[in-house]
Amino acid sequence: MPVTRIVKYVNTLLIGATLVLAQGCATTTATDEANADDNFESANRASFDFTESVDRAVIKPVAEAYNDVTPEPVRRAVTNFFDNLGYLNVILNDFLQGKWDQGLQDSLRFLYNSTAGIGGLFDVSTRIDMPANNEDFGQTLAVWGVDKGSYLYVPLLGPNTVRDTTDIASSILTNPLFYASGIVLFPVTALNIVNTRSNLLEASNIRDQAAIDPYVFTREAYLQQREFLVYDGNPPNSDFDDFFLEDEDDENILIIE
Amino acid sequence: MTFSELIRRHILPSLAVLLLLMQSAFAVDEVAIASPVDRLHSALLENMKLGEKLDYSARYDKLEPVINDNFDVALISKVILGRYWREMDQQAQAEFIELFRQLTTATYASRFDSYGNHRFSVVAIEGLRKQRHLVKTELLAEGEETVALDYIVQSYDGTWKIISVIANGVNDLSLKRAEYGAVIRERGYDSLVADIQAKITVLQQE
Repeated sequence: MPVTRIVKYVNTLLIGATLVLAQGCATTTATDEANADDNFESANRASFDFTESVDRAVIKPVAEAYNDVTPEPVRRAVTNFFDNLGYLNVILNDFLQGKWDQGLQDSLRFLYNSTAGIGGLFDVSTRIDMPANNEDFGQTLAVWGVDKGSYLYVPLLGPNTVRDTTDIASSILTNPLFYASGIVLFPVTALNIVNTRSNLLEASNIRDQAAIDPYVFTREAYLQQREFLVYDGNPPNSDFDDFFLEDEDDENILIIE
Repeated sequence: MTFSELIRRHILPSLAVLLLLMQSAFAVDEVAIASPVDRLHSALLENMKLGEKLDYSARYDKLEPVINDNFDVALISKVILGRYWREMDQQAQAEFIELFRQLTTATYASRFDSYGNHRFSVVAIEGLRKQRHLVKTELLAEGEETVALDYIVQSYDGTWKIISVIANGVNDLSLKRAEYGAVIRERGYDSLVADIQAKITVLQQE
C-alpha cells in the first residue's frame, strides 16, 4: 500500500468534493504571476484557508476517530455503497460524451453491484473485470469543447474550475440520496463525508509532507489531473516539453548576444 | 513457379526478414531510451522487496548513485527555478542542485519502502521534440489502482537521462516550478531553501 502513496496525494486533490486538507499556509495576499488560470487568487486563498481550518478543527479529527474504531472491511463497504449511488452520474456522462460501450458496461456494473453486490456494499463488478470509470459533467463539457474557465476553490468542496463546478449539480441530481427524504438523510450524509475523508487521510498526510505551498500545490495538481482525466489518461504530449524548449531558447538568446 | 508460390517462397520471407530487421533496429533504440527509467524502477523494486530489512538511510544510500546517474538534476533544477535561476551566482546554483538531488533521493527512499507484488511495466515510448522522448509506464499491483508513471528522457550523446516525472497526469516539474516560484515571491529564496531542508528532515524521520 505505501508504495502508491507517492501518487495518492494527487488523487486526493481530485476528489475535491471532499474537504481538502493540509496545514494551510497563512498567506492570503500573494499576487501570483505563475498561473494565468487563477483569476480570483486572493478569494481562492481565503476559501482554501477557511476550508483547511474547518478540516483541521473538525472533519479530520472525526475521520481519524472513525478510522480507528471502524474495521477496514466495513469502511470499504461504506465506500462501495456511496460510490455505487454516485455511479449514475458516471453513466450519464459516459453517454453524454458518446462513449456508448463504456456507458453500457457502466450500466451493467451499476446493476450488478446493486444486486449481486447487495445494494452496492460489495464491488463485485471489479472482480469480473468491469472496473470503475471516472467521468463527470466537467469532463463532458470539456469533451464538448467548453473552456475550463478560471480556477475556483469552493469553500468546503475544494478545488474546481468554473466549468467543473457544473458537476456539483449533476452529481447531486443523479444521486438517489437526493430524492430520499426523512431524518435518516442527515446521518447518512455525515457518514459519507466522514468516510470519504477517512479514505483520504493517508493521502492528505502525504500531501502535507510534500507541499511547500499547499495552496499552489493543490491548484497545480488539480488542474493537471483534470486535464489527464478529460483525455482518459492519454493527454496529447505536444506541450509536455515546453519548459525545456523555453530553457533552450534562453540559451540561444544568450549565445546570440 | 506460380504466382502464389512466388509470393510464398520469396516475397513473404524477405518481407519477414525486413520486418524483423526494422523491429530490432527500433527495439535497440527503445531499450536505450527506456534505460534510465528501467534502472530507476529496478532500484526501487530492490528497495521495496527488502522492505523492513533496510532502514531509511540504507535505502537512501542505495538510491543515491541511481538518481545521480539517471536524472539530469542540474537541468531539472534550472527549469524549476526558471527566471530566478539566472539571478543566482554559480555557487548558489550548485548548492540548489545538491539540495534538490537530496530531496529527490529522500522522496524515493521514503515512499518506496514496502512490497506487495508490485511491478513496473513500460507501455509506450513516444517521440517529443529535439532529443527527447516520453516513456510511459505503469505501476501495477493486485488489488490496487494502477498508477500511470510517465518520464521525459533526454539524450546526451546516446546516454539517456530522466528530466521530468509525471504521476497520473501530474507533472512534478511544473508543479514544483509553480510552487517554488510562489514561495520565492512571497517569502524569498532563503525561505524556499529552508522549507526544502525541512522537508528532507521530515522524510528522514518517516
